[in-house]
Amino acid sequence: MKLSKNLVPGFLREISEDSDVCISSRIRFARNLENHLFLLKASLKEQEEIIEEVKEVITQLNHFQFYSDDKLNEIFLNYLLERYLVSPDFVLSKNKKGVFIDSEEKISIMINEEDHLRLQVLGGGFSLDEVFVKINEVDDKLEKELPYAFSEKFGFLTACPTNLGTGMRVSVMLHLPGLILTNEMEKVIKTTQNIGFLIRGIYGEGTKTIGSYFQIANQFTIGMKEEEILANTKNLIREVINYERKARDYLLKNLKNEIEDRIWRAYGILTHAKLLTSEEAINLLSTLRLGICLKIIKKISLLTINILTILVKRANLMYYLKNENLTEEERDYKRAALIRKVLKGKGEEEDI
Amino acid sequence: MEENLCQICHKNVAVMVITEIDEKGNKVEIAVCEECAKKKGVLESDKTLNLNEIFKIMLKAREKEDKELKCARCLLSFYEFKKYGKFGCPDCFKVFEERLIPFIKRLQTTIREREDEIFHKGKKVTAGTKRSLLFSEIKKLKIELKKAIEEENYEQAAKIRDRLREKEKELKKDEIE
Repeated sequence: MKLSKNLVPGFLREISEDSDVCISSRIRFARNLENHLFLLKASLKEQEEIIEEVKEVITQLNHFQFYSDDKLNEIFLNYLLERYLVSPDFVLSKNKKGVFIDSEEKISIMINEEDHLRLQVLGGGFSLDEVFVKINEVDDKLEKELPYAFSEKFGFLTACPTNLGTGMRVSVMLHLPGLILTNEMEKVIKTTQNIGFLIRGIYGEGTKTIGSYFQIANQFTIGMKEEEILANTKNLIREVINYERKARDYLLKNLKNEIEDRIWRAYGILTHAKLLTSEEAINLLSTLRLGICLKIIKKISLLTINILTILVKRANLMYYLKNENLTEEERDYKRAALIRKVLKGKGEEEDI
Repeated sequence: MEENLCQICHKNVAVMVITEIDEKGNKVEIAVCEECAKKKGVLESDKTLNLNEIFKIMLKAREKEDKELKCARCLLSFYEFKKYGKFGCPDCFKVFEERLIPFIKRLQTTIREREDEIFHKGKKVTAGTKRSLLFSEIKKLKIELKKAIEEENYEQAAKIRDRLREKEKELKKDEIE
């Protein structure tokens, strides 16, 4: 079965030379309006006014779809969260909120998350430079029309002091199974934290990570120019990408049989299982991804893995199947069926 | 740490706790240094060197100070800022500025030293935005002022007039620059 590319956000369709390790790149700017109280103090009425004011400006910039409270039910919010278009805090927030999303699903602007505005631009692979250009374009356009809260000393004024100054968070999603399997991940985490960067698993709570996916981001936002923050974060990420590649080389040289066995077992389960939870599916697809990068699996593309990794998540699966009322067991069954259909025979041939 | 300084001279390290009557006639405990204790006529033999006690009193004084430092626009106190870790509005930054500078440094640097104080070096808003904002605020304040006068709420009107003057001054300064 062939899956349409359009099932996933634009940035997950872009496969580039660093996509073997770096899944996607993201930059977000936190901005607030001078003429309104921050969300800690803004009444629901004021929160509505903020949405109206921002809406007036953003709807002039074309190709944005706007979703507000009436459309943002629990499942739709999680659908957007699973696609990285809104944040976990946005989903949980009791504020009057809204989100603008561009037609390609690469730009999103959250209104009334922790700050009045959270602009975010996403790109495929390791593409922070392009993402940086793009987010500045959007930010500059908005800045001409909206009275951003700004001070010479503290820069862009944000609700939380951890975002002060540039309000900029640069991050990437990395796939690091090599570092996990060679027991090097602990070291990478400690070093990253010691030099002032944030690192955490993408899925799962605390130290329990699923699928060897990690996010690395800058911790500090003030005292440096945006370009410096970008360059420093990029340097670190480049190091981690290279380290992961070295770990994979090591595995191929020293543990080839074990790695091959692990990958084909994952393929075996994915193509034959009748029930799969999203966690198990994401884990197995992660192993399959490693197999593709190590050229052990040759007929499945990284794009297919990207699409499946989104589609197997709870809300996205229900949206894809156009049935929001599936029980957990029904979802596990349908999830396994979908994966089987897409991957069956793919040991042999490729059609995506 | 400044926390341990004498609450009278603010120079020496506090070594003892004494009881005093404040302006309101309430008994309060304060932590003082040896010199100030002598000046107050507290005898050497009365000295109660209890670091734990001193620390508690200092903390209480700091808490009171933090509760009194309040943003006039959104009513957030510095105490609440520390509790929630969040600001209430753009004006908080001016009110808390002095306290914020060391706070931000602690929060936004690693142990390896950078310059003493860290300030914004990045992108700035353009002059156009600042001006358009000032214009729109002045317009809004004028409407509020008119309304307050109509309602004979003179106390409120005076407050609005002060803010209005401030904004007009800012605009003029901006034009000269």
